[in-house]
Amino acid sequence: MTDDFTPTWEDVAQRYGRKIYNFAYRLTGNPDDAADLVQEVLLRVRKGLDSYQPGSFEGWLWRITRNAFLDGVRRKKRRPESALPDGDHHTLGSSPSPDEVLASVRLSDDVQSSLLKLPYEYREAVVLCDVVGLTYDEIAEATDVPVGTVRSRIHRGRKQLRDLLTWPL
Amino acid sequence: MAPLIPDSERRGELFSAYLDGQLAPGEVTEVSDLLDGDADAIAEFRSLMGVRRSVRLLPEFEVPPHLLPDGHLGDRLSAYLDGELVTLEHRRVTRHLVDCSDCRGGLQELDRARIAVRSLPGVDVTTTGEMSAVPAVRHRKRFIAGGIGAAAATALLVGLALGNSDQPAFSLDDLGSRHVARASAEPGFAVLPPSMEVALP
Amino acid sequence: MIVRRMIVVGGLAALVVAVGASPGLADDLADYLEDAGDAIYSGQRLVGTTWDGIERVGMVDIQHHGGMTSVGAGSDIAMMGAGRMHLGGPDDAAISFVLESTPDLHARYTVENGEATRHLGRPATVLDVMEAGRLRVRMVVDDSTSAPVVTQVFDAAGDVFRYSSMVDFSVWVDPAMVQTDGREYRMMLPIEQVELPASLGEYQLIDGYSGPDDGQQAFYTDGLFSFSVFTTDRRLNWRAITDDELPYVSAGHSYLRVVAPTSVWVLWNAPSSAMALVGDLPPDHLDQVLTELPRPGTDNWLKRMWRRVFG
Repeated sequence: MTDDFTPTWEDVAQRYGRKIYNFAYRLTGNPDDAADLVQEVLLRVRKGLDSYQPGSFEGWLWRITRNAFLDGVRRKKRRPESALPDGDHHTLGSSPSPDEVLASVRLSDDVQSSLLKLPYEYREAVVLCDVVGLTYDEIAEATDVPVGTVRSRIHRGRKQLRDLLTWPL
Repeated sequence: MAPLIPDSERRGELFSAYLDGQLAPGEVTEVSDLLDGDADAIAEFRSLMGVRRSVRLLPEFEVPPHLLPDGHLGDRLSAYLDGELVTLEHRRVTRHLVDCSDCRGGLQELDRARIAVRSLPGVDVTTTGEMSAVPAVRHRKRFIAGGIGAAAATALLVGLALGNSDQPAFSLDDLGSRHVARASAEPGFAVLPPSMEVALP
Repeated sequence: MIVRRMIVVGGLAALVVAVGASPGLADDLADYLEDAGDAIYSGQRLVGTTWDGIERVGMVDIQHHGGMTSVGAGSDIAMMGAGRMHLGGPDDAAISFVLESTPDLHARYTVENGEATRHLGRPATVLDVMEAGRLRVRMVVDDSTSAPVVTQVFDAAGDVFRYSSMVDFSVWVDPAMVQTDGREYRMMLPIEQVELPASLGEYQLIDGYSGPDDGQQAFYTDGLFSFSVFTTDRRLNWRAITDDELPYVSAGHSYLRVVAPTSVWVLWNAPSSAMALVGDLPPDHLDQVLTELPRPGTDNWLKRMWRRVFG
């Protein structure tokens, strides 16, 4: 979105709901936590849009998302790691072929469980980069750390993932 | 500027940042130097590329509909062309485009609308200038699954026969390859991908 | 013009750094096409052709570097550039054409426009290729890499006949792509006597080569589009047809036409040889060219074949 454009709450929901959901899902491995987060973020966005000053929208949104996520974690007194749900809790976005589904479920379980083993800061950085698709600057803004730290966290996260993943890449 | 972290860390960080398109100016040279002739470095680069891809290829889930306001999801094509969709959403729209001719038509319309249509002298913009992507008559539309494929898929072989010869010479694939190879020497539209339309026998 | 500094590192990794990228209009089309040939990028490209209501679409993975293009679809990969082409694995087909003549860009093409736009979030420029006052091709060129990110080719009626669009775009390529390969290429040398005219329509015969089955391949181009005409003494015969393409009628004669996402094949039996034309020329150019080639000889040869196959 351009910097001088203020969206409506519906715009945000339509355009970002999915990203927010998947951000939480990949961080926790848990669809319930993900659903809770979407609701909480949309609520905060709805309230916050009145006082939103046009600027970097992505940075604003993801800061809200991240804070809501961490608040939720603290509230539930649960650590972000959770057991993986079984297959029928989620629906895939498009309609892949049966072979694709089989292959992707098998591989994605491995990636997901490896992600959950990363230290939180690394996991968050990798998810914001590769699942949400933010730039390093945007991640720095959302997580309130310098870009150099973002870069290092992403790299270390990937390195650890690489070591954890069990099949040849 | 001396690096503040161990060389091996820095190398991997640079590769990661390069893959994300997030290098600082001047660091591209460093990356190319590191990759030069160094099998180790190339292996590391490729392993990072693989990890990154694994995460990017994670399936993207739909938000449970009750969490979203009513109304259809709307036309994402504009955001798509603006490069605003995240990788996985982008991928989903891309896959959909391959399957859906209406949306392809929509994409072409959008592309056209976004490029200002100039009034050409002597050309009536509303008729001949209209770059309609959706043909008025469409029959026997065939989508080639998985990428480029021929109208005749893999089995159209135009055989040259003298008497009862069984030789399947003159395959479309052979003709296509020869033409494409020669054409690739000229600037022309060698930039457009040629066809691999008929599978090799 | 975009100024670039080429960094060649050993023989393996070559990167291009865009310096002072302030793109304006390409001075002329030939320069632009050359810039596009030098671009470095990778991504996915949606391609499609619409012809008489027949639509063929595909999606390919592209890597472009050093004048070479790697094209992939599923597990098939081909690499082409500089007159060479090879497929897939090290034992797969590899041919290399030796060039004798250099074609000129036909004077009928000029380039106009130059409006700024964006594609996939990246700044780009619109270039229009005019052919004698009509819009023939509209291209969107990525400013920083000179890569063509959208192309639209128009037919004589002004409809989009061929379309390609990068739907995913990166400014790097897999280092494996830039490695030299030691495979052996089958060399295709130009031949002296070509049995076809020196020009067809506005296309010039550039070089001729031996073709399949003791035949010939004549390569034509107008500097923008190109095609090859293959001839052989044998006659066309149907081995198998799985598609129900209608015969293609041009100026009262029937041909077999196969439409593909980025090119077309036209096949027929002329009186003294079987002929095949393959290329990326637009429909009106094709019709013009066909009138200047030997016409289908035996009356209704296609109909007879058709009846034989379909009863």
